[in-house]
Amino acid sequence: MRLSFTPAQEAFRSETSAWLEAQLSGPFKDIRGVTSQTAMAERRLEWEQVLGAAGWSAIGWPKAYGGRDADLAEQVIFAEEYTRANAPGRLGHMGVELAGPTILHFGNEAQKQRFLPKISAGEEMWCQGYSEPGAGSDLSNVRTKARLDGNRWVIEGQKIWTSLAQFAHWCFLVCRTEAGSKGRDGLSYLLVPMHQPGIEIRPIRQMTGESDFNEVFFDGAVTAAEHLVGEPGKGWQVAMGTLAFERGVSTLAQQMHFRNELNQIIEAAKANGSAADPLIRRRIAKAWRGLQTMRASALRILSGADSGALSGPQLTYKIYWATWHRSLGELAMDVLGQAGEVASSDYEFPDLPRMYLFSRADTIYAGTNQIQRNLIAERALGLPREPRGTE
Amino acid sequence: MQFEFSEEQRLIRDMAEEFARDKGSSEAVREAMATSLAFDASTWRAIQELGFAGLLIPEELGGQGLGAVEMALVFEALGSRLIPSPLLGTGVLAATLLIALRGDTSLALAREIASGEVHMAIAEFKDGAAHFVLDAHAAHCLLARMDNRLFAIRAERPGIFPGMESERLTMMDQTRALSHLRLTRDFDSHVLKIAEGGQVSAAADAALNMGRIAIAAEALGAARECLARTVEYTRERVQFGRRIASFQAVKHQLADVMVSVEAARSAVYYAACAATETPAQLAAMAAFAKVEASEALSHAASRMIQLHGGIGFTWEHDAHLYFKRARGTATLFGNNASLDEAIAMSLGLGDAA
Repeated sequence: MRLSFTPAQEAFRSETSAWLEAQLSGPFKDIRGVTSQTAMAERRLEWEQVLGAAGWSAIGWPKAYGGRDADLAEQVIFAEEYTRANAPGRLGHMGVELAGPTILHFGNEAQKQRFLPKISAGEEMWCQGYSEPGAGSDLSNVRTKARLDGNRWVIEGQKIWTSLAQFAHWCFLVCRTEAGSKGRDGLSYLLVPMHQPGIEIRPIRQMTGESDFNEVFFDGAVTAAEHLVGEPGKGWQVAMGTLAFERGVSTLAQQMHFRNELNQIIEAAKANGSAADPLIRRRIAKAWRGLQTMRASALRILSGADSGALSGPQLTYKIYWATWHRSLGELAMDVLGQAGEVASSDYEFPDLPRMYLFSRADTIYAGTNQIQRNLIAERALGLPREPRGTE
Repeated sequence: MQFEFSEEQRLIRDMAEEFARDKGSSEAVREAMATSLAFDASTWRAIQELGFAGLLIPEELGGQGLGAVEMALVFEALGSRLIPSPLLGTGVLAATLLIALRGDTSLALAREIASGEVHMAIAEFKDGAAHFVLDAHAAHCLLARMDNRLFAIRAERPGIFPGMESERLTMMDQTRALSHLRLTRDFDSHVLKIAEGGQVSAAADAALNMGRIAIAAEALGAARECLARTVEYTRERVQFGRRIASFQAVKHQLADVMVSVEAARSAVYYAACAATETPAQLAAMAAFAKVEASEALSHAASRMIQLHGGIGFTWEHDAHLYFKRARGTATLFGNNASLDEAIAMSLGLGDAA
């Protein structure tokens, strides 16, 4: 067990940080520090392409598909340096972190050749078509249907809470391909082009005032027959595999972002005097412990080299970070006091109050805390499964 | 970087886990804790024979030359069954203190620990007394610190030191032995001064921090055991015609305990590894691991009692042993609030109001 880095790895760190610094103090100065998912999207798309061209977009992937074959230590270093450099939020993360690893693990060679180089080059953005109005926590209750018509799938239905759909070229979609099937059986995992007449996107305004999520309507939308990942009717396994990748290397970048937020809170507490309050001090210490714990957990998960399967620490990771982050939002507001509640005239908030509001979603999306507890209890502890109702 | 155990570390873990299963039955632990010795002499001998007392002592002094990660794996195993022994006082506190001091006398004493024949304790005297001293009640040698001086005091017979009164405390957690010590006269000529100066407090801090990591690992083991036993019970117990583990009110509490246990596991392993590689981080990592694991055990043990219902409140059931260990862990080697305050200071928050 070793946490430190070798001289070669430290050299990799210098190379990474020098490249990032040159870009972000030069041509991409304007988007440095942009963390909002939707702001300055065109410039952030250009950034994805520059990252891709320089081979920094998906460094953990095989070279053959535009990666660098980077090992865990290098991926850790890149995630750390990316956030340290205050680089913008990744518009391409759905492709790089979710679609790509899923195709790499479950896809056939033709699919890998078709999709992976475009993802790693930053040329094609992705979104995730999972949740529906009637399939939230009960994801297997998907009703969106696809039927094979010659050499293409024709899709009817609706998805909701689709992040970044307005920027996406492709969607990985869970839909029902076997008429009359129910639950986990009869679902398939399709890759669907977003720019076509049969697809309509409507933004959802959230409690933050912003629109990170969308509704996506499929009305006769089509995709090629060969864009099905895995086996027809066995899409549930693929969809669950994607969720496992959600606990992958991207968690390290997320943690660095959390660290920046905690540092902002510490600075605010020192500036406004709340750092002298023993309760605030204890909560800040606790938040720091949580952050250390998450780093350690992420390294445990990643060192285990799991792929497409959820292990014990992976199962507990989502609820841990989501609950931690929600508490961090509360701590931020208690530190900022009434001044933290002031919005601009068009109802925009600085980072910390925005995080306070947005973090209410953390314990809901990607599996609510209640669903996480069921998963932990049933899969890790072997407790009885929830019975299905009949309504 | 590789956050996985090496082959050697896995072997040590397996050996310690097997030992704990073998020696750590409820009957054996209860019998040991009820004696005046507070541990089972043959179990302690077996721990020494496995080389655990010399785990942290360099090989040239007869020890194993291993570090905090291996120590954590051993203590996690022993902690899972609450096995009482003077290993913490001898193999962690005294050993770390002596190695940190490095002088010939200190290293000779460390060699004695590695030989697996002695039981040592460390104590800090202020105003003629040392309070809540761990594992002194049957020690052969007391490493007594007074200001910036450190003395080695040989016992006349185990636990009885010249010029000193000792009061063995009956603690809520009976699996640990703590004593108050009071000086009845100044140290006389047969007391050996082994070190002096600023290095003494630095070495004592190092010992305390290693002790924190060790009890954090014990708490991790204990918390993991609370969870496993409660899962087992709730899967068997039937009420309302159902296994009680099928109620969300029960299974969600168990899921939350697992979240705490996994968090503590991450914290303990990370802290042990970071403290080994970067000694400058030892204090922060020790505080981190101790508070995380202490809170996880408090959580797991309190849920263990609640989810066992009435049987969990009985003397006969082991739940109270874990619950009491949780209480003792929260206050041993600095309470959790004071360690959080140390973390707050290290984050640059300055002094409290």
